[in-house]
Amino acid sequence: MAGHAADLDLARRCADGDEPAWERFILEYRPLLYRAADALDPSGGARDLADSLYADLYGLKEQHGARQSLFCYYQGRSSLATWLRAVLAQRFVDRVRAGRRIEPLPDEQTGAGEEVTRLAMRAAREPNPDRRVYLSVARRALRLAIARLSDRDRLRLSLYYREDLTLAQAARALGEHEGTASRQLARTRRELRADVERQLRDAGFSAAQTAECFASAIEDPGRLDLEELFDTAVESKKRMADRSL
Amino acid sequence: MSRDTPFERLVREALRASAPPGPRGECLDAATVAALADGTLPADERVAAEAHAADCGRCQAFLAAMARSAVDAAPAHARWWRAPAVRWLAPITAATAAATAFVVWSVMPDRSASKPAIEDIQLTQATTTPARAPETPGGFVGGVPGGTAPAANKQTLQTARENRRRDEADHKKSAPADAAEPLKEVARSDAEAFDRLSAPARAGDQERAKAAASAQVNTKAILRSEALATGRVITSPDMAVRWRLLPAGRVERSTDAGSTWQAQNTGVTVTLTAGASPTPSTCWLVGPGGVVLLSTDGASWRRAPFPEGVDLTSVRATDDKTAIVTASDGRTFKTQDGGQTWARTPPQDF
Repeated sequence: MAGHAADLDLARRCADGDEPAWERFILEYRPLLYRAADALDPSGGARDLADSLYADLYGLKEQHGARQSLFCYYQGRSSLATWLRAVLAQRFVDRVRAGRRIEPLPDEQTGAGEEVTRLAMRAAREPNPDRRVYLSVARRALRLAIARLSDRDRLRLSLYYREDLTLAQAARALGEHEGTASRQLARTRRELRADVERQLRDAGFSAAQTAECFASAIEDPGRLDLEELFDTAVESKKRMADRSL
Repeated sequence: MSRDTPFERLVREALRASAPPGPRGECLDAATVAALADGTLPADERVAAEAHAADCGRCQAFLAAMARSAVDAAPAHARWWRAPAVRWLAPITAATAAATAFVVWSVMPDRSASKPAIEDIQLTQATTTPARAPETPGGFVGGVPGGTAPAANKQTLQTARENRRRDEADHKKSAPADAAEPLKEVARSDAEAFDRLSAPARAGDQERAKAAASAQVNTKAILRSEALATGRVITSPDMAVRWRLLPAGRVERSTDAGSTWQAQNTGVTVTLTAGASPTPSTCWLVGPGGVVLLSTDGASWRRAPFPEGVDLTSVRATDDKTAIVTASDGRTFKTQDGGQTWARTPPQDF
């Protein structure tokens, strides 16, 4: 925190309505916020969030007759620039997620009908009747394998594959070197694959059947029920915690 | 690492299928995520934050947005030297680099005869002590402070020196004069010494090749270290006008050949890596995370949009419209409209 004393002082003075401090803040941090906003939404759609941030930072809202500045929440645990980016990123994510929630859902009747038709057509041309079984088994094994990963490994995997960050960005998010992130991801993939193979072997699958499971799942990764997946992860951890008590 | 192997596709689909529910504890707040990004979060809190985020779709998106917005933040791996355990290495490395680089400089023969090379121009970037350095408009000033070098380095450099002389003689015989563009001339004057060191040896002369390669690696490593440890100076065609790059995005300008310096506001906080000044009022600067800055009046800076967040290591420019930058992965990008748009281009395009 001592390293951010100057930032903290600037934030305090801005929160207190010190005009020179505010001017300095605008001069130094406005470009940073705009660049961060443009990085979040290259079309410029996040700039309004950055602008709205100024109002909250300046403290346009009042409570009990006193200005309520967002600066009061800055405690110097990071640099002021990083904290501002975090506030902006948080608002951006919340807005995106809120937008998704109010998007109209697809026509359920049509969607369900199309799904049935698609499955029926696929079944009709399915050369191997056991394929669906293989597919189901492989998916379940993968779900369990992901659930067994450590928190950090699962987070790294999610940031890279689910959030589609670059390797450098995922590494930055976890505070590790890009090379380390690359090695850890490769190790995690190896562990996932080995875990899936072990599960199938324990279930009595032959090497050929295991290969068939992978082939089926890879050919049609489909959409897994991630709620089940992560419920499994949480339950697994709870069981482990119970055992350790 | 490829993102397209079948198994990776399977994993990606598994993770993208839906948001992971069931996180433990409360969602991360901005202060926690900021401290996590700055590496100032205590270890126990970091572990708890990661445990929560591993099962929380919102916090994963939050962390991802934070990582994406870090256009001006130094990458985590660039902060390793701030660790207390290795902080003492910086001055030692700087002193060793300066001493050894001086020997490199002192053993270099006449700089007028060598083939042009622009690839390593950023490796010859200047120090804050350009007393011995022949100055080159439009690019960096060469030269390093004096000192003594270890005997092993002297041996290597002596070998390299002999090799360079032989290469020079060969080159004078075989290489036609290059009707180069002005930028290549600039590049030549700055980069020729190291280009000679890196010139491929003739077939059959493996000893020379080995020695030259060793010298090249040593020299590049030394100058990289040295460049990190000292400020960099960009000199315009008017020798009196110069810019100096300092840590944390700070830039200073001198209009009296370096006697006095005036700080300038660039709006970035990353340490800029390279620059080029084709005219006294025009200067291009580049840095990590796709940072490209342009000044057309010598005083104010504007950020030019760059299509990728890659680390940029060098820039060459002919005016305030046309410049070519090189990324750390070797790719080059060219603009002809003052940095508004960029196109990939082969290195020899300039």
